[in-house]
Amino acid sequence: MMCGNLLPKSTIALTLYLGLGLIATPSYAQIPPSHLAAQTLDQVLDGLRERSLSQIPYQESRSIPALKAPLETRGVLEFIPPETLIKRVESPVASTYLLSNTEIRLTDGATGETFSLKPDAIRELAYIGSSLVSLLMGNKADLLSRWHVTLGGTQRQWEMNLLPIKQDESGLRRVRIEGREGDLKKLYIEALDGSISTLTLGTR
Amino acid sequence: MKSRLILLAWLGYLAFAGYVLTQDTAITSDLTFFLPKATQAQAQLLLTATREGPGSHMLLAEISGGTEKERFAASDALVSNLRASNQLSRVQNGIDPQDLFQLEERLFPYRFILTPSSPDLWELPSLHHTLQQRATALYSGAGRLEERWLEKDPLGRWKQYLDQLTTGPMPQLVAGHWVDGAGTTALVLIETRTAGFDLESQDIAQQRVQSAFDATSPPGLSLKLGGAGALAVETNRSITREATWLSLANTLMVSSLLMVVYRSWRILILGLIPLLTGLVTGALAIRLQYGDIHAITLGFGSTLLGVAADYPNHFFTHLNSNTSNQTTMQRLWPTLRLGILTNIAGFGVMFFSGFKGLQELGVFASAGLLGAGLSTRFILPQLSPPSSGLGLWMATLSHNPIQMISRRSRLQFCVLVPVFLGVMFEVSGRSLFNDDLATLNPVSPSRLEKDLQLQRAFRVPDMRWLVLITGATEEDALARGEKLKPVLSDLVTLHAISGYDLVTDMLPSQKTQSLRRTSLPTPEVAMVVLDQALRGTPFKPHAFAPLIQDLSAASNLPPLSHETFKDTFLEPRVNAELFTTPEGAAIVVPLEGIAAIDPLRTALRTLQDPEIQLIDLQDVMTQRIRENRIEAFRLLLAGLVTIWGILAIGLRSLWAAARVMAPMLLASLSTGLIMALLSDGLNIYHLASTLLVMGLSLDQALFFNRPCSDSHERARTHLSILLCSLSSILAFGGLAFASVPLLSAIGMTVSIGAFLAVTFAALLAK
Repeated sequence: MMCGNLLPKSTIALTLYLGLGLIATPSYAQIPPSHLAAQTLDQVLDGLRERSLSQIPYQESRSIPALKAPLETRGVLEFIPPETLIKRVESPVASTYLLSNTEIRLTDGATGETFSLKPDAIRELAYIGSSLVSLLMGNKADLLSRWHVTLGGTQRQWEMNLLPIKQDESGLRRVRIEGREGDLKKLYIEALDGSISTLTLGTR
Repeated sequence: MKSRLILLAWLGYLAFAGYVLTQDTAITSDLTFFLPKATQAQAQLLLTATREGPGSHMLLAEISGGTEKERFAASDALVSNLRASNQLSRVQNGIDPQDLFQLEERLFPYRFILTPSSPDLWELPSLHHTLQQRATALYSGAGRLEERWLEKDPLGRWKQYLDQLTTGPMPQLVAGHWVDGAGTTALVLIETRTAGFDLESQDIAQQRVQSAFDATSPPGLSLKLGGAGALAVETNRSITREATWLSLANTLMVSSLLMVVYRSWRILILGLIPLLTGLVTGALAIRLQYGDIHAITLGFGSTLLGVAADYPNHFFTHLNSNTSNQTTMQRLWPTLRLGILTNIAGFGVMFFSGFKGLQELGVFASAGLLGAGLSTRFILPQLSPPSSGLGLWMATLSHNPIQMISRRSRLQFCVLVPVFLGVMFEVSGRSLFNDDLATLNPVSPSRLEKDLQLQRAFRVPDMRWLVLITGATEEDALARGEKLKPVLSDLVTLHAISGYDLVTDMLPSQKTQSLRRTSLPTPEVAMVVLDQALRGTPFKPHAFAPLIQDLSAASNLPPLSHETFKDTFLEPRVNAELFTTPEGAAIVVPLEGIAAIDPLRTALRTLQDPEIQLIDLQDVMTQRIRENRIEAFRLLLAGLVTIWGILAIGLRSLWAAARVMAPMLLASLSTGLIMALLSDGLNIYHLASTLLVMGLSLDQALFFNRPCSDSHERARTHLSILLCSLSSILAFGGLAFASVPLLSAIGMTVSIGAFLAVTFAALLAK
């Protein structure tokens, strides 16, 4: 009886919440989202796979609720097929993040101290890392098993919006990826704890 | 009619015993049952802790082969499978984030009182500085980890606690998985529900682990188990396997010998009656007295009952068609009875031992010998054929050939043999007894070394040296532990030790908790100071409102206690290091990387607290073995005096009794000296085997000295002694070649002893 009463309410609440979230985010509103045919997602994934990203400079702006201003960092993002993603922070403080299916390894550039952790120690980092790997490897099945994927824009300048199928498991609220043909251009990652990271790729 | 009644009564008794023994008689295999108790409470406490404590429940598993990824996957699969089965207390293959999250859920509210803080932590300049540091740290590698607790714990108290925990002994971590030093194997720590010395339960648990691994791992990977439980099970298997084969071989040899002598299957089978009745009686006595029967009591007790294998031979060799079986038995019985009674007295003294294992063995052997003796007396004469057809042998054995040597020479020889052995022993410079625990270890040195390698990979601390803290209560012990902490920290700074694991780092005393709690500012004061401290930092005003809320809730938290750790991954560690004792509570502090002992001793002496002691566990063990050996000797002496008394009554002369005992004493002494020369000193196995030698020796001396009516009877007596000696030498001589040190020590001692016993008995015979 309780379920019968709660289910429609929670569904409505979720729809409203998601809808408000999308409207409240300006960049989402700029390009009207539309479900593209599977063929189109295949084309984006094919393009990414064919370009085979190995190293790319990035700039990151990370907002944490407790901080007045975002943390600004820059460095190089490296992909080592088939499953390893490395983020080398060069400034302001050197550090390295290695993400793979079995490990998150954080190395402090100043002290050389390394923290080797099981992926679920920082679940949102592990989730986004493995999803990026799936994207770069063109692994559509894995991507669709984790995310509700919505594509927008044109084939030349596309935008992929990802909503986690299991939000609690992922620790993420939403992810947006912008690209131009086979190149990744921007990553927007919003976590459940309120932190937001924007990575602009290809610039130092 | 009377004889039939006796036969029926015997069959009825066997049926009753069989019924009782097959009804809920548990055969236990807990090895601690056979480890003696220490006389000092402190030593007993330590040994109980190390032997039965959580440490003994740990199985160390190592996965090798394949790639690192395959090993980690197999390790994860093994952990999942075993956790799902719920048959083991705990399975861990690294720092599992879920474990940390669970700990966080339980202990995070206590973060203000878990670690010490500087007195000025909440003063404005210090607080401002700390917050600035926190902001900078967010850019570091670990910063990403700390974000999780930033708003609730900007002062980093929880991280400080976690850092403190991971300084303890723990294997190397790769990708959250434990690996060995070279990173070539994955390690899994398994905690069984039963202690490592409970062989049966351990065996089941280990088979469960192995089958889970076989079911979940890909080909090319292999699993190796280590730790006290694994070694105990492995050793038990190898001893059982080797003992089974050697027993079969020995049985074949002894049966062949008896067949050659008697040429009768019937006699061969009848010869088993006393031994089997003895075994059943011994087991029944244990069942009725103690409830359960220990496997070692059965195994070693059966060996001691080997004396009873001689009883039917004494009877069969004296059978002849001219005399009825009953008459033959009546003539033999006084000597046989004396032998049985003295053997019962010898083995029975074990009943007065300080530990249950030997008591049970004493009851088993004494009751068994009584059963074997009575069945020899009343059953064998009824079932045996009138003659054992020994005619061929008689002519050659009517005289003791040794008697042809002059009495003087024989006496000289008897004195010279032990004197010569004594001089040899003195010249060798060896010590007579070896109280080193290592000599009792039935595990081969190469297997032990492999286990040590595994222990090193797991960073299991060297448990030889440790600090023992005792207290009237848990709180008292924890308070003393906190007093010890600065001393140990100084020792680490001085490189006298490389580390230590102190339970107060996980669980502070109530007093310390209370002090830390009272030193916290009120939420109102904290809010004001924090607002001021936040000025000029990258943090937003009121960014740490959750901290203020938690600070407010902290005063209402129940005190952190031993119980708080229940079901967390720290529970086994806390339980291993802090436990209750009959006198109160105790803390064990394992020490790592001890460079020198003297600075440790000196540092602990400065505390001037008798309840905080540096313990050498090896010394405690050696002391304990020495105490038990001395006790065994006292019992042996008491046994000898009792035997002398029984013999004096039976033979109606103290001198005659001494004469019968002389070969036994000479054989035991000489065997002891030979074994001390051949080994690194006598251990408890040698001493227990000597007990059997004494039993065999007494029997032979009694029969050598028994009055015989004619040369035929004398020949039969000589044959019986020869047959008994040969059987013992063959049966135990085989064991001497066993690769297991325990079996080989027993085999060699008894076979040499049996040979010397018959030699000395022949030399000193009337």
